[in-house]
Amino acid sequence: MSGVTLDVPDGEILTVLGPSGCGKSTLLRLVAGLDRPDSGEITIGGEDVTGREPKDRDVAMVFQSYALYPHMKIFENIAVALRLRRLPREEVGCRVAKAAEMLGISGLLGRYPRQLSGGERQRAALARAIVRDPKAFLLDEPLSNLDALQRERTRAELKTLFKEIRATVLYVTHDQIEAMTLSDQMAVMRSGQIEQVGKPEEIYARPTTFFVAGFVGSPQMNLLPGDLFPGGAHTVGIRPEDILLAPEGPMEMGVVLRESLGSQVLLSLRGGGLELKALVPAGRPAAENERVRLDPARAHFFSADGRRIDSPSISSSAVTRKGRDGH
Amino acid sequence: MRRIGVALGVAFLVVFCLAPFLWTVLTSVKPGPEVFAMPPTYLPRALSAENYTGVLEQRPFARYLLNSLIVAAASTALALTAGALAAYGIARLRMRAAGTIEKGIFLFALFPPAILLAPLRGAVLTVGLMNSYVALILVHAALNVPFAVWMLAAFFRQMPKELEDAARVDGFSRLQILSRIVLPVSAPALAATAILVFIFSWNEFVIALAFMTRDEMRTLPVGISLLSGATAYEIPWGQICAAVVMTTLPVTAAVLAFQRWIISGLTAGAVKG
Amino acid sequence: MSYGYVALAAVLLICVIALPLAVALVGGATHYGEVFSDRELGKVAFNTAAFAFASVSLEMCLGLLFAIVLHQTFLLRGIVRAIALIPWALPTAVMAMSWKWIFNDSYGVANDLAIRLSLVGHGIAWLGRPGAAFAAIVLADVWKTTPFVTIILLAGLQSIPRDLYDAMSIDGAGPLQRFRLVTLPLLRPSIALALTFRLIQAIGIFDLVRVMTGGGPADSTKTVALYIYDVLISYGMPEYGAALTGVVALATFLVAATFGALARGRARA
Repeated sequence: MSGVTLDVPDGEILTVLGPSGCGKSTLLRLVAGLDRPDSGEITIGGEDVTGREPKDRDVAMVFQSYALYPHMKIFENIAVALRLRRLPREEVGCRVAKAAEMLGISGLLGRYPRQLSGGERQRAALARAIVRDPKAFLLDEPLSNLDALQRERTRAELKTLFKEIRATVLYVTHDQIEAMTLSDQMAVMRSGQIEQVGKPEEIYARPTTFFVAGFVGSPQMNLLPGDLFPGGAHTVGIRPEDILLAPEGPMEMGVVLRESLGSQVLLSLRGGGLELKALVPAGRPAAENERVRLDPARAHFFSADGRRIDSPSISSSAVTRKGRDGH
Repeated sequence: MRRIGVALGVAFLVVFCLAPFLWTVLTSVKPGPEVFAMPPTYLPRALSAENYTGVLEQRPFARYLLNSLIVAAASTALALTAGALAAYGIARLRMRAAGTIEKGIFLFALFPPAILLAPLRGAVLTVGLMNSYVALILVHAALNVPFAVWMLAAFFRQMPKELEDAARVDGFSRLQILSRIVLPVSAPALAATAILVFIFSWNEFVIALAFMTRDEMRTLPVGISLLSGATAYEIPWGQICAAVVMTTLPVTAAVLAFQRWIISGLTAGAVKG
Repeated sequence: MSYGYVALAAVLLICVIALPLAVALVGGATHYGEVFSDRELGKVAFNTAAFAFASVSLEMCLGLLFAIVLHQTFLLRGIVRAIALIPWALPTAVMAMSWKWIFNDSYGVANDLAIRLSLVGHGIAWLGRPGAAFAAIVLADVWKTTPFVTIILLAGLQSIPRDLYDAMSIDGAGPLQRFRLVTLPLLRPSIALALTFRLIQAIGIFDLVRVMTGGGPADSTKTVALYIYDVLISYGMPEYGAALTGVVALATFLVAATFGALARGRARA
């Protein structure tokens, strides 16, 4: 990894989203001090910690496997970091009790990790981080070992919790829903490089690279040849929900597949040398063919090297074509 | 049909594995004349402890026992320390040479002790350590290091690395990670390895036979194998069986008591190869 | 820095085994020629090979059978698995005394059982007749070391995913075909491991033979290890013993490596 610059503002949650093997975990380990960078610097709370041991960085970490110490009771697991910092006994007890209460595991403090369910272990791991009241929290895919229902519930709780204690959080995940819902800021990473940083809505609305366009958003954005519109773009992306199905649409496409997503239906369309996915309300009656209109105002344009093109000439010429389509 | 097959298999296995041992136990509790009854009595008609008291009173059994305990305990401590450290280094630290070192250590497992007798005895004669505990302890420890590494490396490999990462973030020092996280978590594996290494040393015969030429320095297996009477017709089989039982019973008890750890430890090592 | 972890083990292995081995190999240098014209070595090498072949092949078959039995689910499986380990954990030289008692010509239970089962008309001097002594030692060794093969093959069986058997059943394979198409090929690495170690140990057999027959009758059960022991201690020829060690160690290594590679290699083919 090289050339990565990332800044987590105080009290905010920054998630790093990327496919597996993109270097996001390495990034987290570098911040924690578990791995050493060849060059560059890491500052936490304004202090340069680049050369420091993990224990001297005032960070807490939650691991994917939770990494609870199997031979210690949950109380010891949570308390041990405070004890190692030689805090007075009463304060340790008080802070552990408070952290456990925040996470609803007060009744489990006397048990061993193996006696806990997956969700309870996850909470214990979080309590072990929160009790430290560190300058920064580092979370490495903390929800990936939970089932879907627990994950959704915990996701919301995490956000509430971190906002309540005004935590500064660096959160690594490969799950874009987690990233979208939790983040104040979100960074998309790919093969050791940061592709884009911004608010989640911003990244969704204006992906600055071809990779981000394809990676963020589900169902995935349609990525089509650039010559669909004039202006010389290499690729054009349109989200499935931005595909317009209207009787006056200029293109006739066959419906290859209807997938119900509950309130919406995902249509796979084929025709005119193109394949598209379109997201439409569930109420829409099934048809063998649909007429399709591609709106350039809702399209994203990318150059051959994968960068976003935002030149006005493209949008104006595209608007022209849109006008023509209307007739 | 399948269940009958399994039941027959289990029955055969149990009888096959236990029969020689059971026969020895039965012989050992028979009174003198019954030991040599023809045809042999399968269940003792009378029980007697005379073979046991005989071997303890007339033979230096207690001395052999003490020698065996000293050698096995010390060599286990040494082999376990060396083996655990090496296994941890090989499994954990991304040493470029870790694979080579591991192979190098396993190379030493390719020589049966009896084949190594010439060099080992030569060295002991050179340094003048015949009939000394030190020589036997060092050789037993060295011979068992590859086994200890084999078992413990498999365990350390499957112990999650994140546990040590978490400990580093929590503020444990390197030494504390070893003493307060790694060692307690690996206690079952260490115990299983220690028991087996102890048993191997307890059982070892050829080196002990060659190194300990004075009767009072002999270990149990050597001492028992040399038990005999004045003539070939006076071999005290009852006492020999009693000695065999007293030597093997602790081993049997240890295997039964720690079977879960021992079997899971052995199978983890064997799958890793 | 991190090499420090290996230091103690390395020092032990090098100082206690490697260094003496090197010294001995050099010290025996002038005697290697004699090794190849040693007629007694030829005889004991043949005995050792015959013993290794007989006992290891029996152990592999019986060990596989035991491993399959122990891999099933049944009542008290944990205890039975521990019982299966016991012969391996007991001191060989000590149990050899038990075997000597069992095979005793006048009072042994082996003769009594053989007579009751009408296998023989009258008692045999098991350890006093060349063929019978060989068979008795093989039986004692099979008893003693089958558990080692069993535990390694059991580990191999446990590492085969259940799904593979289910998939094979759905594809229409019966129990024997599943054994041939799934179990045997996937067990190959374990078989290779067990075979390699068993061959090494069998070539180096000493304890059982020394205690049960002392190599007799008439040297008919004398193995290489017993011969080396005699050369060193009874004949008092340490340099020739060192030369023997070099040749035998090399031969052991080659045999183990060849059979190990054969067993493993066919897994890939």
